[in-house]
Amino acid sequence: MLRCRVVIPGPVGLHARPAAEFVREAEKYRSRVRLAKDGVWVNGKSILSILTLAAESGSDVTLEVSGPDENEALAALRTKLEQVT
Amino acid sequence: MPAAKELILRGMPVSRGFARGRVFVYRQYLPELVERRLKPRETAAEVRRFRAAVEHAKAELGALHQRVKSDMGRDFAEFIDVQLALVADEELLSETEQAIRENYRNAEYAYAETLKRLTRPMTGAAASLFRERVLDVLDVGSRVLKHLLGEAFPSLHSVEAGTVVVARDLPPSEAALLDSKRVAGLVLEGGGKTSHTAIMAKAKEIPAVVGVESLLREAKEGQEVVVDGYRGLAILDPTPRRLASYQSDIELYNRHREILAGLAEQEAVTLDGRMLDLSANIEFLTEARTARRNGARGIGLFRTEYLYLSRLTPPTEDEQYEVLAEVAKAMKPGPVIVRTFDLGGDKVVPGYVESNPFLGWRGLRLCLDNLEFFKRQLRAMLRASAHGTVKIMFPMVATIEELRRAKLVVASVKRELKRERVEFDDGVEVGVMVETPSAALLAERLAKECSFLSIGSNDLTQYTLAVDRGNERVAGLYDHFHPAVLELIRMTIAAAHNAGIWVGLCGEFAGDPLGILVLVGLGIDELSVSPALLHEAKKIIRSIDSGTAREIMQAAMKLGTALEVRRLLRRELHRRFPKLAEFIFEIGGDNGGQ
Repeated sequence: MLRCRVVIPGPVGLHARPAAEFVREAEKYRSRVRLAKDGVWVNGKSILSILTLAAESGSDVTLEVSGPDENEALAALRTKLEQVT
Repeated sequence: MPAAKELILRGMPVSRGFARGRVFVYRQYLPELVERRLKPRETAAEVRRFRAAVEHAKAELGALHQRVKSDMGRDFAEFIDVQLALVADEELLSETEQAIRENYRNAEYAYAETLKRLTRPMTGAAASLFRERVLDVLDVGSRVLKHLLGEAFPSLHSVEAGTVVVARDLPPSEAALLDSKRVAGLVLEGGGKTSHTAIMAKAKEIPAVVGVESLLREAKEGQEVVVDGYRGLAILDPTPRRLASYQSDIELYNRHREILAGLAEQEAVTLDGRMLDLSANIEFLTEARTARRNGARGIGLFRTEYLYLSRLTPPTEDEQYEVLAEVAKAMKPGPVIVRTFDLGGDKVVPGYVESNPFLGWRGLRLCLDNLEFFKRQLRAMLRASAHGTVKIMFPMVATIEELRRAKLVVASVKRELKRERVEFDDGVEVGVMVETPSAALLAERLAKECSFLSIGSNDLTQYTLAVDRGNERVAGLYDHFHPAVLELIRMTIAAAHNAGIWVGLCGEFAGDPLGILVLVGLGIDELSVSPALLHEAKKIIRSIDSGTAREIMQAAMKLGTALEVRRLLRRELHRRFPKLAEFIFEIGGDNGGQ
């Protein structure tokens, strides 16, 4: 299991479009993907769950990946979060 | 049956025209569904039924994506990307299936309950940006439920012809596909002039009124209604007298449209053979097609702000390029004059507030302070110029230095593109939108340093008269026939011609019949109006001669007040061109061209 912390950039945070992109990327991997904000964990392959985090710009989000392809998944998904616009 | 009492509801007109029809109330909600307990052996089939409904919804959204993309451009299709992610949501699907299998619930009930539960934190979320996604979630949810219930959900795609749609607002997937053959009119309780739905109605030429208070409380399914997209009225259960009066308005309006539509292929030429460039003001791709169909020679003003405001994040260069290239191709060989972003600082920098936005950090000023942002748009414009005739126009110019600096940025972007061996038209014309009194007063000097001038009469009026037309207390002072405004327009046209460049006007003045009379009298080269007004403008141009127009203009220029100018123009139009006057003022009466 791998974890990293990302501060959500961009003017509006993790809103619908980047969330949809994140989910599309996450679905490429077999690993389980989870996101957390303020101690609330949600499924990273569900856009509904991600949106309920309401991760606005500047919020501190933890990304957790566990599974056979966790190394690649973490790198790719971390980049997605860091490039939220 | 006792006659129902007529009720007149007022709102904002956003799309001209009249409609008479039956109310169809569009409600978007998840219905209270019947809860059914399944027998254990029924659950597997129920899960299959659920999966099939989701697949149907997915396929529909996929097709919608294609259609909206080719109809409206990629920008408009973006919301469907989000809906596609929502419809396939892992949690939503697995929890629904779990409720079917383990709680023995029917699919509809299990799905609706799961959806409610999963979106509860979102409906309560403080961040409004996330809250607006609830509309998308509901849209997706009702789509899946519709399939589960076997089409029991009414959709706008299947309403009968002559329907007047009544709603709070429409979800984007419905608004994008409004069919003017079925939907005669649109009345919304919510929405503003610039809402997505209002823009769609205008583009599709469906008469529409928005911001109608207590609409949903008053309107009943199947009720007779008249939509007046001129005055901004929705009249429920109209009296026979009202109907008769509107019936003649509607017939007149349809007859006008027919006569005017016959002009699409004709030239915009005066009786004495003076040819004018008649172009259209547009905001997005589909309007370019309407403009073309209505006989526009080109696009006189492409407002790019919508590209920016329609989304939560600034558009990339490629995204802008795609839209601009499509518009350039649609109008080819006609010109497309693209105005660089005319945004206020509050729209670009979150939380930025200023006490006097109209005199503040906006338009070209803001672009010159955000070179990366500005260059990205200029690159997109220049790249699009390879596909047609693109011209660049700068808004809110008040000083010569601004024009010079902006031109330097264009030159540097051109060098960049050349280095990268990207194709573009090196001869792209660059012009100034004259909308500050300063630009009009300096027109002669500006004209020496650019290829064209286009008068933005709305802002020019606002700045010249120091009147915010959005402020009800002073809006009455706003009048583009004010002698001071006329004088600045006259100066600008003369200055352009002295410098040997062409000059146009792209504000509401150009769509005002009396305004056209003045502009033809002043010898303007180009008029740009909203696509819906093209035919009428052409009719006027073709019915007058420039000599008479000049005489009328000269008489108007001597007057001291806007009211005197209006009276004179109206009187002269009736006297010199009686048939034209009768035609123009037939609908809605002679209200002075307002």
